[in-house]
Amino acid sequence: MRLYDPGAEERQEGSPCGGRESKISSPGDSNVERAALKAVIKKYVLYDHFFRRAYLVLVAQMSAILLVFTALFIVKKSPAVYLLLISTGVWLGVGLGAPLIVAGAIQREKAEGSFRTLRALPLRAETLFLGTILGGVIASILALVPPYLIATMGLMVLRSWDVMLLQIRAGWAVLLMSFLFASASLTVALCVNSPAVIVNMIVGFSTLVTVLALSQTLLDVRPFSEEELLHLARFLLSLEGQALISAIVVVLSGVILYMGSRIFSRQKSYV
Amino acid sequence: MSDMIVLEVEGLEKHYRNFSLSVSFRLASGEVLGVVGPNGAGKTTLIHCMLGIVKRDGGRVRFFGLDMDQHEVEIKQRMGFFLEEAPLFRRMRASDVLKFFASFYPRWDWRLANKMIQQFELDVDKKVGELSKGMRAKLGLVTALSHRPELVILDEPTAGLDPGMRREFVQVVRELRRDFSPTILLTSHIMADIEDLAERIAFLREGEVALIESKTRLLSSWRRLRGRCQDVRQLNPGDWVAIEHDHASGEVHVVTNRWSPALIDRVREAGLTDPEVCALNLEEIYGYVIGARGREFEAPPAIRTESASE
Repeated sequence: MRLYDPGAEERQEGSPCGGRESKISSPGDSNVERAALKAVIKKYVLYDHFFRRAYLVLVAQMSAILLVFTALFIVKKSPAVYLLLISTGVWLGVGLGAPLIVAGAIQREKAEGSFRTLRALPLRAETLFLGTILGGVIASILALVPPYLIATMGLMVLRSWDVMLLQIRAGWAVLLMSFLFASASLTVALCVNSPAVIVNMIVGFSTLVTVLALSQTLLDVRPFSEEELLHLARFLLSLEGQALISAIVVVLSGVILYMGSRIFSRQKSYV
Repeated sequence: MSDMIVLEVEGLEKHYRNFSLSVSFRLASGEVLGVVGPNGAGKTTLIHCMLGIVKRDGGRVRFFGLDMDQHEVEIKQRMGFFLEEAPLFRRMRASDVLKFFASFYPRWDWRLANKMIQQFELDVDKKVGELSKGMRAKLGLVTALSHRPELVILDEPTAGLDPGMRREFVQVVRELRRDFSPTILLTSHIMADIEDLAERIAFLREGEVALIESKTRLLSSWRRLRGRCQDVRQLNPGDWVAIEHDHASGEVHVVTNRWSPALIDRVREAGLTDPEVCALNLEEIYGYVIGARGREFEAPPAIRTESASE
């Protein structure tokens, strides 16, 4: 048996020991909301062993892969743009993987029954929803840092300054994708209680994408010409294009979050 | 016990395909209400509806005079809860679970938490999943009580605990009452827990409160009159909770929930010879109220429901 001593900081905050006057929140108390939000983020990102282990393995594995590739590129003096392509793939892997691990943790809690403890705590359903999404987004951003730094260092060694400019835009794009993916995947994980429904959703979505891809060939839709593709690529890489895409992704994520939050707070059961 | 109403459940309804819950009751400040009933009677559904884990289909729940729908956070900060089987976060360390809980309660008292940790010999360095069922229940109690809540909701806290742990739990709740006298709502299907702790008992049967009464009144108003009777049909079934006829011994038992010495003359008039009056314990009363016993006589139970305000 070991006595738990959370330290002076908590004792100061815990009013009867610290001597500070205790305070019960009034509706809309922003400090209470902030503290609850922080606690939910910390719960998933810091305290949850399942998340920590899976997350660290993902980041370490992907960073190691990128490190090996970067070393090969430096040794072989290969074109830096390919390093950027590989790095983007790795960033996407960690950026999309991190929210998936949080989603896994949520589904596991639902299966174990501990998710209902979260709903019994003094926090609003909306705060729980937002805190979990923010946890996923923060996990995504933190996961991107090591592979991004590795790629940056590789490009610096290769002295590819023009590719480094592209790297900033690619990094931003991955960040936006991660935000969109975190919003969508965590909304599904929070709002859907049955793993069977999630499996059906994934299968349904994959089928839809396949059908759309096939229908292009079957319906004989004219593909983009090389000139049109170049025009599109130039627009996407321009400041205006990036701003437009950023705005679309942010608005789309916002819509998903708004709808998700409404669905989550109106759920009939959190068991 | 003051007259202030801490919890008011008014026409709470929850409907499932095979089950409906429809409950009303009140809980006064400082009171300990035990909710008993068989498995599937709706005890956990009631707790889940009250805490917002399951949305109710109708009715109103007010804590401390505040509406749960409008003051959820404020209300929950003033109450502690222990959910059935203590579903805490299995992959978190016990110490992290405590830190997590502490961040939601402005009145969290680490001194009290540490006292309980010491008393329970709880290893807070272990992950929740590595703790035994009893230890998990103890951790659940620390999370439920460390902010000195005004109302504590305990859902089947002793289910699956060995007798030693159960005794320890009862002792902790008693100490807690001495310490800061919270109002307690306790559900269980173990009558011994209820007998030890509750002052008032609500019997939940098929989603409805069949009877809610103070423990003292239950124990003083329920009696079994035992004797011999030539013709059992002379005993009007409507007057009694149950009439039981032991054909082997020829003994007849009549059970009443409105005991008064005058009843002895009444049973004598009905032909019961040498009636002997026996007190019933809560386990036996539970059996009659829930309907497991005395059913063969189809006696309409002379049971009434009373509220705390009465």
